[in-house]
Amino acid sequence: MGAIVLFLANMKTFTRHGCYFIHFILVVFCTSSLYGQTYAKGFRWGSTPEGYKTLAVRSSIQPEKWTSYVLIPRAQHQKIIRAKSTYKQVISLPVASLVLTSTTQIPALEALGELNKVRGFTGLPYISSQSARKAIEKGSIKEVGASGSLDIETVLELAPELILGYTMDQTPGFVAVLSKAQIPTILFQDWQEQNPLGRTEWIKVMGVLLDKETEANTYFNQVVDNYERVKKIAQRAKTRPTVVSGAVYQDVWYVPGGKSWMATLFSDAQADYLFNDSDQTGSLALSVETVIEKANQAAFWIAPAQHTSWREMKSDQPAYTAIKAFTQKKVVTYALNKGPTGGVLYFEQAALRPDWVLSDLVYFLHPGIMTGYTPHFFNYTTP
Amino acid sequence: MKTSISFSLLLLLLGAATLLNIGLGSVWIPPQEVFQSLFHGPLIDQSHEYILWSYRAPKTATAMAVGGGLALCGLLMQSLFRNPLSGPYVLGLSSGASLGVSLLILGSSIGLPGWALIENTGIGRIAAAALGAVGVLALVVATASRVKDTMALLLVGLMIGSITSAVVSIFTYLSDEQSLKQYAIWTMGQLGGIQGPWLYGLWILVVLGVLLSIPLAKSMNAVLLGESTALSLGIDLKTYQWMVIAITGALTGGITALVGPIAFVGLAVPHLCRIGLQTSDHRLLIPAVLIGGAIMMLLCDTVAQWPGSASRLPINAVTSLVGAPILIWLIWRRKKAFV
Repeated sequence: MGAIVLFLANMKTFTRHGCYFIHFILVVFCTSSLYGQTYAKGFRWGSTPEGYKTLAVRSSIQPEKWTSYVLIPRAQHQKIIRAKSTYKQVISLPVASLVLTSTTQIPALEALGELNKVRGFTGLPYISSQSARKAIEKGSIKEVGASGSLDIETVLELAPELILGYTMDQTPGFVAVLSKAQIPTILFQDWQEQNPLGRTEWIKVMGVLLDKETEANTYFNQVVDNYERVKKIAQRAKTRPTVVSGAVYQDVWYVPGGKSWMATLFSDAQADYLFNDSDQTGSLALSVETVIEKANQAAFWIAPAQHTSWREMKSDQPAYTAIKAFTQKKVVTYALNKGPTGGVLYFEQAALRPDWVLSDLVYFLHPGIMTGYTPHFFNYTTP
Repeated sequence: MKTSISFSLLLLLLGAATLLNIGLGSVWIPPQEVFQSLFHGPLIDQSHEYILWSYRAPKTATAMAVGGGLALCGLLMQSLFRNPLSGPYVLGLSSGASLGVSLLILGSSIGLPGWALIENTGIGRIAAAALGAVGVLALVVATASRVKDTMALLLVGLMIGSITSAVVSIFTYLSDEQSLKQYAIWTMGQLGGIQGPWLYGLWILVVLGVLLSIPLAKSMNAVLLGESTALSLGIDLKTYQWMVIAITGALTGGITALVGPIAFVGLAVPHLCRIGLQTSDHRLLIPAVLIGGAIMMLLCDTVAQWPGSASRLPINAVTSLVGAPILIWLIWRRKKAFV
């Protein structure tokens, strides 16, 4: 499900610029295991022949391509000057000012206590975090592209030390303009990770960039521990309820693929996800008939895209009544929990807190197992 | 005399549009700073200096080349088809280029054999777009040689547009989110961010197109009087036709690959120039449409970047909003239209 909503969210953040040239800097000298990285597949650490630390990030379009950044402590002026003569993208640590492009980046910075480094964001209303909203009201976080796409002039004027990009893989021309102005962009591909904890692990990248490595590792380990704990609790369940997900959008039912982020969570929550047999890591585009044939006996319907109301779903697509979970009103949605300006909390926080998502799923799928727990994201749809 | 006044006016307008385009943007830079940076030297405010020279100036240069190039294509096609409604967008050339690019971007994602081998950036994309544009143009020319009715040609262009959008919608249904997004962004058009070798390449392409078109002016004038007259004047119609096809295919393909499909500039500018200059002499029209196209593109881009706001309108939407009404107006006063 995450995938289709991500897709819809992406439609909103379309930038309107083509992509013609990609400036990739060679390399990756891989020593990731040194840093104890275990889940994420989209970034890796390494070092240059001169011994500078590097961060390499995988391109979302061409998975075999990696962009690498040389990271040098700010105090070592001479090294920075020398590195800049050899390497295109040099970042001085810790980074003092940032422009962000995705709400998933906000809670990670908040967890590290570094929200005050944020100068700009694309699409302020999507942000729900209370402390971030305060900073927006104070004017310390500026809008850098009201329509969701980065406005290059505003960014150049703010002159942040670093941009954490999101959709900018599509506009490498802009990345080139920015790097000319000595503003490097890291394409923050946390959303591409298929392992739930892989998305969380990107907090380690923030940790290194902001000199909060220990804090980031501690935070990550806590999430991992909690995730594993809930996963064990789920194993106590006596049943594996069948689950359908996604919703119909223009005659196509988008369901999470069998190898997707969401499917992994379903499986860890001891659910029998009905589309587990597909190898897709993104979403599957299926006909309504196919889904009904396969899922009409589903016990639960989890994450029906943007839907929040049962009645609205019924009028939207009468065929939904063919699904048992729908007629029995076992429809669970994340779209009801919204921030003060309408941003869906799940979109902002789920990437960092898969343990909460898992707990929510276990809570609904196996009533009685999670005693004294209040769900963070999910609710039953309103009547 | 009258012509030189008109051209001075056009150049003056071009200068004004250029200044306006460089001077206005989502970040307000005071005019005195703009002038200082343009004519005296670097500003103290480094971020403004970057905005002016690393972002706005290349974008202005791109807009000029794109506008001039597309307007030239429009002029060439209107003369080739002796049809006032011809233009790279209306006759489906841009659609053909889009089809080429969509095959490239979306085709590899749905596993069409072969497409994955072609690099999905830069040269590969330009080649795909140019092939698409030339392919459609060849089809249109073939139709034109069979059917003398000019309306039929427009219908063919329209149908090619429909086929393209049908194929593209099948692709979008099948392909993954990433490729889809990449394609959708491309269709909205982008003038900013074209830099370095790509910008030089674009200018070289347009300049080559212009140099090759200048010798055609005489043929274009002769063809206006009818094919038999042109033949009796010793014009080699075959060469002329193939030259026009090659130039417009390469220009439309190259420009569309770089900045996305741009609507109506190619169609509207030649008409505005004919009306403004009161002439149908292509020796004057060629330079006029080059300047006029650049002016129109610069103005549209200035509107698209919506001075003072952080949001941008897609450039393709702006040129359509400006260009389409001109088309309607032309159809209304068609009796009086030149060509």
